[in-house]
Amino acid sequence: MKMSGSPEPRAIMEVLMEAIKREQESYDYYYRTALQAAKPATRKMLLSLAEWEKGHIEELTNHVMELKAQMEIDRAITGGL
Amino acid sequence: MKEITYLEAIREALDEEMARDPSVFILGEDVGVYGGAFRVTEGFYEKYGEWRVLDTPLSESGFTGAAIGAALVGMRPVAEMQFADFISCAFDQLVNVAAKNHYRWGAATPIVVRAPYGGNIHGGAFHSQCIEGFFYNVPGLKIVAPATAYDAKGLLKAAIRDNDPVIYCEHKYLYRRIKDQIPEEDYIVPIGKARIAIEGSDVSIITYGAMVHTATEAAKVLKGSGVSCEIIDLRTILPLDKKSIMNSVKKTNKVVILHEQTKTGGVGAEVSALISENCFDYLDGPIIRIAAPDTPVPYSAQMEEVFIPQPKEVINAVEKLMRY
Repeated sequence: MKMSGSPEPRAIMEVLMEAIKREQESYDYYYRTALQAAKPATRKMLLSLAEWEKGHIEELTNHVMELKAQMEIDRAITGGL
Repeated sequence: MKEITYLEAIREALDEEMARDPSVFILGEDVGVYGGAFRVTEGFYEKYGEWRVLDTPLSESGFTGAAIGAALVGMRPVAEMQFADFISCAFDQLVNVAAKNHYRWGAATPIVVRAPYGGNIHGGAFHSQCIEGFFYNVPGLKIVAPATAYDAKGLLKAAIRDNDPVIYCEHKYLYRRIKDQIPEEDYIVPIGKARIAIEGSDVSIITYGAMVHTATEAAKVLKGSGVSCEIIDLRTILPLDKKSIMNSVKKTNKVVILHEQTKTGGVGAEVSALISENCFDYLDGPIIRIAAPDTPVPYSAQMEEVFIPQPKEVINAVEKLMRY
């Protein structure tokens, strides 16, 4: 396990945050498009894709929570060194 | 209702109790300006000022003694050990002073010692220990160990309002990893009362702290193979809620005791002895203890994983018991 002072956890955090941002953009896109869809079948498919992206966001958010938790503990142990 | 983490629950309990009762104050290393090693008391110094959020020198014995003195003159101090491992430096104050004041003079000593304990955080031998066993045979102390954010808040409030010294074991691994729905209104979780975390009928898994979640993981797997586990979350480990333990044993007739603390002389040994003394006739098989091996907590992440009880060990133990 690398300490929080090393670049690795911070780099992973950046990747995760960027991934969440992109998943959110995808969710917004599918949801917005679904609202504009004329056919119920199309709307249903787009909403299901939006839900899929929402699942990704939740999964990534759990990873962020886990990483933050460990980084905080590492910082407490090392005094942020 | 609102969702907060285990750490936020501790922070809220402190904040609400300080707002409710001016005799409550906090002391410890870096709890003030820095906001605590784990940031539990972040913002408290600004909110409550330097007389109620005291940064102390690096002396656990010194600030625990100061807390006891303050308690004797009517205050309700909450002392923070930066890591529970360092509580050993305050052993004399807790065991020979705080725990005995009531017995010697009838004097209440309402102190809470917050002890961030436990492993699975890659902190090694000096930042990962379970310390409850050190104090387990000291009459006059109470020890609580919440497993959920709900209990973290309710038990801390109860500890602060209690007139006896309470060691509050807060598991570091859970700080930012678990969340709970918490009521907006004031509540306490009574000291000395266990809870049934999962109701079941085939086997009782008696545990506390982070191991409640390990037991829950195991119980989910076992449910898939048709085994119904009852998980008893002790919440308070001194004094034990004997009634809840016995009721569960009488119902399931099979017992696994699970804790992260090392095995010899641990809480599990006491629970096991109590069951043998009071419920022997109800048992269908041996009481199985799952605990950390009798070694210091290893630093290596791989070795720590072997050291700390895992769901697989619980599953194996339950499967063994189910053959009786």
